[in-house]
Amino acid sequence: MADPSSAEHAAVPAFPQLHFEYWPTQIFYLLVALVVLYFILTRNALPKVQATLEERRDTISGDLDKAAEFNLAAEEAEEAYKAALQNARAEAQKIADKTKADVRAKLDVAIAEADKRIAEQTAESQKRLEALMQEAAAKAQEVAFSTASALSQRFSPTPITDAEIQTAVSRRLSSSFGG
Amino acid sequence: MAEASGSGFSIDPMGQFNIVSLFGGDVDTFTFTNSTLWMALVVLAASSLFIFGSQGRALVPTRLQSVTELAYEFIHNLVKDTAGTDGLKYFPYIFTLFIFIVFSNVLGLIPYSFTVTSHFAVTVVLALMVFITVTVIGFLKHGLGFINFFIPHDAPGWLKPILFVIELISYFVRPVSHSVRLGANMLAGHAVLKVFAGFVYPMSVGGILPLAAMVGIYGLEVLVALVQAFIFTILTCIYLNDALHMH
Repeated sequence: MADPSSAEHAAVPAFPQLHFEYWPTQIFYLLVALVVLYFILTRNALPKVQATLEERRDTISGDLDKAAEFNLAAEEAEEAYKAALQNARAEAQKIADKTKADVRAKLDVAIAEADKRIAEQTAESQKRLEALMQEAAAKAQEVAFSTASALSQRFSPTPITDAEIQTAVSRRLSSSFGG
Repeated sequence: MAEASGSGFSIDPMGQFNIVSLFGGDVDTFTFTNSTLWMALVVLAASSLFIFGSQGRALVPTRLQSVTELAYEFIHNLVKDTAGTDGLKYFPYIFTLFIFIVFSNVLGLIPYSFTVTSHFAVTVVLALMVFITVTVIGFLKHGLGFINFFIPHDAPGWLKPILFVIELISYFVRPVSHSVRLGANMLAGHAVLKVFAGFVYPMSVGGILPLAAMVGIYGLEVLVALVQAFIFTILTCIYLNDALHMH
């Protein structure tokens, strides 16, 4: 703005920003532009953008909630699984204990039975042995008596009665058989 | 102006900011100028992005949709964090301002385009809109108690009148700095680009140097375009917070 009177400088202003004759048109159209932009943005665009953002936020938080629920359910299932496992273990332990007790009881009965039978057989054997020994002792006595009576008939100067022989043989045999 | 130099060396960094009537005639209030055209393009581009970007409403956003959603959430969080939840009532206004400024700044970087926000007429109106709105909100919300905003309550009594004047001045300087910061940044960046561009052709082969510098400065200007829109918006939020909560 060296020389305002010069026509050349008026046509090409040195500093257009400070030429106030250009201000009204800029101000007028600026206000028009701002009002138009404001109405386009607030009537059309911004509500949609806001709705989209809210929708997205809701969807994301909804999904997160659902994920948390699933997580909770999974944890519960794990708890239930652990509890069931514990129960099964306890049950198995109980069954094992019971079986062991049963087996022990049956075994005890069988052992008792066997012991009884062994005792019976032992007693019977004992009896038979005794009978055999008695028989043997009787037979020995018989043989000894007959031998002794034959010997006494042959070699004794005096006749010896059967009763005397019997007594002597019995005395002798009881000491040897322990009778 | 370098127009006068005889060597054909013509650098006119300010010519790009001229306001010209596109259909002839003088420029008066309702003339369709290049500024009007680019404002219309800004509105068109911004509306297209937001109308097409918000149509899909997919759960997993498309690229265009995610641009609109990022912009929405970015400004939404900015307003909420800076001005509090009760400031969200004014979110649509702040968002419109931000979108208008950011599109003006970025479209202005297209070669041969016109940067709407490089004119103080525009930035002053934007800043005054914020300033007046925020001041009205302050008085509506706190009544005359909003005056206390200018008096630091823990200052000694005799200092309060002086501080009141200082605070009042600094309050009224806000729209000035608010508008000049944006306008001057846009203006200076584009003027610098133009100056460098003016050196490229006259330097023939050596012109590669200013051309390389322009590439760097252009990248910087893209950053400035976005950052200045952000700064304008965050300052708006801070002023709004002052009006709503008085510090």
